[in-house]
This record gives sequence, C-alpha cells and structure tokens, in this order.
Amino acid sequence: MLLGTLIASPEPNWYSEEMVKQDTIQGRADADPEALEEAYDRYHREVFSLAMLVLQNQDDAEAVTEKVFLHAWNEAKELFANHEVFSSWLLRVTRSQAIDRLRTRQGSPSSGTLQTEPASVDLPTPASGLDQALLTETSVAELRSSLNDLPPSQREAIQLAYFEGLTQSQIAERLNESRSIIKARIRTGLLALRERLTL
Amino acid sequence: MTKPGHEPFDGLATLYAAGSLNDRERTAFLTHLEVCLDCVKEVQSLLPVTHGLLQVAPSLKPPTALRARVLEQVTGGTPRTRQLTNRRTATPTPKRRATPKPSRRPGTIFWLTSMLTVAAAGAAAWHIVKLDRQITDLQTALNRATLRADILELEVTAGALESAERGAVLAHITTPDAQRLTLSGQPLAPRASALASWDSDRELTLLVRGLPPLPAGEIYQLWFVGSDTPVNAALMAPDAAGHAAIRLTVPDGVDLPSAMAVTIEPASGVTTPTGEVYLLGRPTL
Repeated sequence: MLLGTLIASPEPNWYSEEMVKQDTIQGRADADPEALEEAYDRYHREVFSLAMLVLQNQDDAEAVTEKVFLHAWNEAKELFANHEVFSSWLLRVTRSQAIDRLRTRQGSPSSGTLQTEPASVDLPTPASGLDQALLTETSVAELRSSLNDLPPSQREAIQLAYFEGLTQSQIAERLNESRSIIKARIRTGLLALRERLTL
Repeated sequence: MTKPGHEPFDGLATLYAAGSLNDRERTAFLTHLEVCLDCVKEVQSLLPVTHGLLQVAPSLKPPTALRARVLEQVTGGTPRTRQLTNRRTATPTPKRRATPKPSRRPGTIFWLTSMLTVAAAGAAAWHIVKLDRQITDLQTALNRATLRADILELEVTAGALESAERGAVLAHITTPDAQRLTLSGQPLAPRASALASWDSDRELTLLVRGLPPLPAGEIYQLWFVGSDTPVNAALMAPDAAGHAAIRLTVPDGVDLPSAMAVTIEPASGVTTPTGEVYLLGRPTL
C-alpha cells in the first residue's frame, strides 16, 4: 500500500505497538481468563452505557454487553494479530451489536415501515492511531455538551444515523426531508463537533 | 480541486464516518477511498468525533450479576474477584440515574433527559475521575515498562554498530528527556520494527530491525508525515540482518511528535514518496 493511501486507510493495520500493548486482553488471551476480568472491569460501564443509549432497554443492553465481552474473548487472538486497539474495537462492536438487536426487536432490518436498504453496522476502523484511545473525561464532556448545543435538526439526524443505524434515505423518509438536506445536516453537525473537540 | 470521478461520492465521506451508508454504498465508497486523498482526509478528520460519540452515553452501571454471567461462560466456574474490582465496586456509585427497564424507546426525550442528568451528577463524578486516574497511572507504568523492553531489544540492533557509535546511539535513545515513537512493520515487512528517539534539540536517532534486503537499485527512505506533504528525512540501507541506525536533525517545519514512515524508493531517493510503506508509526496523544 502506498503512503498516501495508507495515511488514512480504513484498514486496521498500522496501529503502534505501544498502543496495542496498552490493552491487556490480547496478549494474555491464550490462557488467562483474568485478562477478560480485567477488561470487563475496565470497560463494562462504557459498553453497557452505549448499549443502553441505543436500545433503551436494560435486558437488551445486558444481553449485548454479555455478547460483546464473549465475542472479545473469542476474537482476542485475531485482534492481537490485526493490531486492533481493544477499547476502540469494543465500543465499535457494541454499537453494531446493539443496532443489530434494535433492528431485530423492531422486526425489520430497516426500522418500522421503512423499506430501504439498512445501513451497514460497521463503523470505519480508525486508521490514524490518534483516535484509538478512549477520550478523556474532559473531552467526552465537551463532546456531550457540543452535541447538546447543536441545532435540534442536526442533532436528531446524527442521532438517527449513529445510534439507530439509519441511512440517509431512511432518515429522510422518517423526517420527511430530502436526502440532500439530511446529508447536509449530518455533515454540518459532525464538522461543528469536530471543531469543538479538544483532543 | 475536485478530482475526476469524485462527484458521485461527494458528501459520502461524512456519512461513511457516521456509519450511515448501506453495504452497497459503503463498498463503493471504500473503493473510491483508495484513489481519493481528499475523501480520505475528510474521513480521517471526522474519526475522532465518531469515535468519541461512542463514549457520550450517560455512564450507567450494569447489575453485578452480569459480571458473573460473562466470566462464568469463559471460566466455567465462579470468577475470581480481583483487587481492582474490589476498589471499583466498593466505591460509591453516583446516583445519576437508576437503571430502568423501559419497554419502549422514548427516543429524543431520553436523549435530552440523559444529558441533563449527567450534568447534574457532576458533584459525584469525582469518584470516577479518581479511579480513572489510577487506571491511567497503571497504564503509564505499563507503557514505560514496554518502552524499556523495546530499548533492550533494540540494543541488539545497536550491537551491529561500531562500539563508539553504539555508545552514542544508546546514550541518545535513553536520555531522560527523549521522546520516542515506535514504528511498526507493515504487511510487506511484518517482522520489521523501529524506534525513533529525539531530544529537545531535535536530534533524532532511528534504530531499525528486520527490514527485508533491498533489491538492486532501491533504498529505504524515512519520511515525516504531517497533515501536508511528507517531508524527506533520510535514506538508509540496512545491513544483511536488516538492521540500520541513523541520526539526523529534524528539519525545520516538522512539528514533533510527527508520524513517520519508511518507504522503498529508487536508490537516489525521491522528493515525494512513491514506493510501498514498510514501517509506520503515529504518535499517541
């Protein structure tokens, strides 16, 4: 792969070793269940809270949390081989599992009466390494505040895309707006959040 | 300037970063990403936000029984209780929100309520901050230990150097105020790695190991990779074992810490990278 492409490639192959080693589960996954205990104790709140945000149901959120950590246990070797950063991977999987469960609960892959093709539940894998570690409490609080400060139309579009896994077509249909307007709202909102995020 | 072929993908970078493309659109956009650096940059610029959004949920604690359920499935028995667990569970939990069992999705109401509830819970949140700081300290200690291990391993690389040069190199990479960056081998050189170390005078040492032998007429080239055009740093030809050690002064205009990459190029070197990437490292924040 050439440098220009690799700089921001979605392929998960260029995280620094130091960052990988910050996460303990991969390297100890062969024989030490305590690695999973450590991972659970460190990240269970983040996983459960995200699942609750998406699913709004404690039983479902517990089921997703359980599934995510077992998946982590089973995939630990592969994560290590791919130089994945555990905390980042864990939250991306939580989101996708929660959205999958939300769709199942709603009885349709496309949410309610919407018949268009559903969004892929996979988020892009960060490639820079800069955004791999969890944000600090301060940055998360800033992001939360910034999100709350967005115009409601932008916040709603981002929320539907990100936490309900809807495509722009589905959001447009739900909100009775054009696709271009939805696209613009998401873009404007995310750029505003990016501008205010202190890393 | 917009590149030819970009128009159908205009604006999709944002939706891709937000996870709002369907599989078909996503596949097409990924193909486009291979050839459109503008879109690559836009996605990359948004990833801190989209990654950060995964953390904005109000912090809720799942039932204690869930931990046992998860661990029992792995251990097949009663999980042990670790010291860290004791500390965390013994700490008063901020009563920011009960864990309700809503049967229907309240949507925006929950969203807004959650935001307000989190803000009101600030007074109790210091417990969490304190615990997180303890964990951060542990991680920092682990990082330092990892660095020491890296340096010890790289001493083997330095062993290939002349003894006088070896002493200077080791002194430089272990100097107390040095900053360091690990470069990882890429798919073409999975066993390669490198450690860059620089001081406040912008003197940089790079120790490399495990690079494949160079084909005739080619050389490895080190680059500083910022937000703009990569900056040429040095040429290097490893020894038969794939080891190399170089020292240089970081050019003005390169902000440190900087991402670094090693590519393979024509033997005379090039002004902008054209070859495959063999080593790559990004600074952590």
